Amino acid sequence: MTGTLSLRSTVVAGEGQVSSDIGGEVAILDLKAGTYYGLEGIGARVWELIQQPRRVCEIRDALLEEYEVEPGRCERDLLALFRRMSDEGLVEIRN
Amino acid sequence: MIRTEAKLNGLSTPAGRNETGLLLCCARTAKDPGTAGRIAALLRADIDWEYLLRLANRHGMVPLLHWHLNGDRPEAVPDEVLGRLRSHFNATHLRNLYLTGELLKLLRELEARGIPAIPYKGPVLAATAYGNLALRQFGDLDVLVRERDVLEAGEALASLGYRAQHGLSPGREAAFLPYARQYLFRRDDGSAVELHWKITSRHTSFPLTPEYLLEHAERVPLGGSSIPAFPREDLILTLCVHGSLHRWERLKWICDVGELVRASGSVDWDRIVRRAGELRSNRMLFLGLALVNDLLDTELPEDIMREVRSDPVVEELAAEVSEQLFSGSLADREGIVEQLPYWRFQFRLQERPRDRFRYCIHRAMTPALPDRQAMPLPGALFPLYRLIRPLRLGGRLLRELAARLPPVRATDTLRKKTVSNGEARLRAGGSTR
Repeated sequence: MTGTLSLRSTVVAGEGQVSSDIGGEVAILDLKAGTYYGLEGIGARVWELIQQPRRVCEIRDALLEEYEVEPGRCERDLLALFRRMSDEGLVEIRN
Repeated sequence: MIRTEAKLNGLSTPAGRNETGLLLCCARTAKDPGTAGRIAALLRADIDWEYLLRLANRHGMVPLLHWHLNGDRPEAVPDEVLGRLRSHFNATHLRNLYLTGELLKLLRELEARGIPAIPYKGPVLAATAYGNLALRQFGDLDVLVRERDVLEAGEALASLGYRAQHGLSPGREAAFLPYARQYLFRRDDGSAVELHWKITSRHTSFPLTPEYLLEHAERVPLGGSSIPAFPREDLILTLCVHGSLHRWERLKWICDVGELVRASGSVDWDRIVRRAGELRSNRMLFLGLALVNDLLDTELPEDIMREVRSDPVVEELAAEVSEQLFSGSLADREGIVEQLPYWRFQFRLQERPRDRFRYCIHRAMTPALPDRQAMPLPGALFPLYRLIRPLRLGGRLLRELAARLPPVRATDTLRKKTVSNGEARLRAGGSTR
């Protein structure tokens, strides 16, 4: 199920997709819709992290350690990415 | 190990060319510093890129070739070649994702109908052995079911738009099951499924049954869910048997075993050898292990390698595979004469005299689909194919041999007549004298 998204929410890659990482880029196929999605750079790293259920704040902290990015922007972009992925049915959000 | 190093440096690879050395170095997902150094050295040497691309395509190695060349040293590859590799890689990658989705749909459909099924090779092997769906090239999906479920599994495939390619009517389809081991299904979008109910043909002694595999299946993650898979030990054995029966003519099959061994980590080798003994496939297992050790430098326990090297037939067959691997194109095996070296190879893989005898009998008498297509009989008369097949094989062999004889030309006939007439004159002259 998809719940309200916050930093305390847990996010995990959804069941109805298959994906593969091709060296910093991830291709995702939504099995129901038959739509391909692509993720690059930090997005690809986020996808790798959510192959296991993780809290949004954990993911944010991991990204802040790995990338030079301002914390507020990282948080905003991360939440926006998860909202979009949730709308597309690619992730499951648990509160 | 000295032998392995010598082969990998590109100087004494099976076909002795830089391109084959490069392909062997790329036939793995992870490379050690030594292999990376060899790749760098080979890229500084003269490379026939057209030949390399053809070779990679034939051996199902384009994804891994692109992975290593594009990842490490793209500047050493001509732009045009890199572009072609990238296009092929991207197309394979997207197709693999698509086929993986198709496999999951098919497994759901079979499960909904209460048909136990277990996929192997294809996406499952890419995910579990290569760790990445993009890195293994596969063209179809392989699913194993029990023989009694084949017809209903065929209906499940039909409900998903697949059509059987065997050309048999429903009654004959059922009657042919004991003689065959797989039926091919295709769909208009190019997807193909091989539905298996035996791992090998009847002429090969490898009694690994779908019932056993279904009962002992592992669960592996794929596409956000978990699916059944062969137990690891049986998968290593099955891949070695599959490659051996095809004379390891594609590097991809050797690479599959190498990757699976690497990914299996602490696999119980004693158990694998014991299972190989139970399944009468020691020689095929040892041949696969000899090849991954010789050609891909795959590390194996010393005591296992001692056993592998103790069978002189394995050494001979491994040498034959290495010599043939990169020579010429994939053999045309339409004719019986072309198939004879493969049959001889398969015959030598059988360890016990009774298995060799069984191989010959089944090879000669177990009907194949072409036998049925050449002479369609009603289901009740199918046992007659056991008599028809040896006659057909014998007839075809005679025709092929006759076709290979040099044609008799009109001038040859004339010359013979002239000689004959001359001889007659001589004989006549002699008698006059």
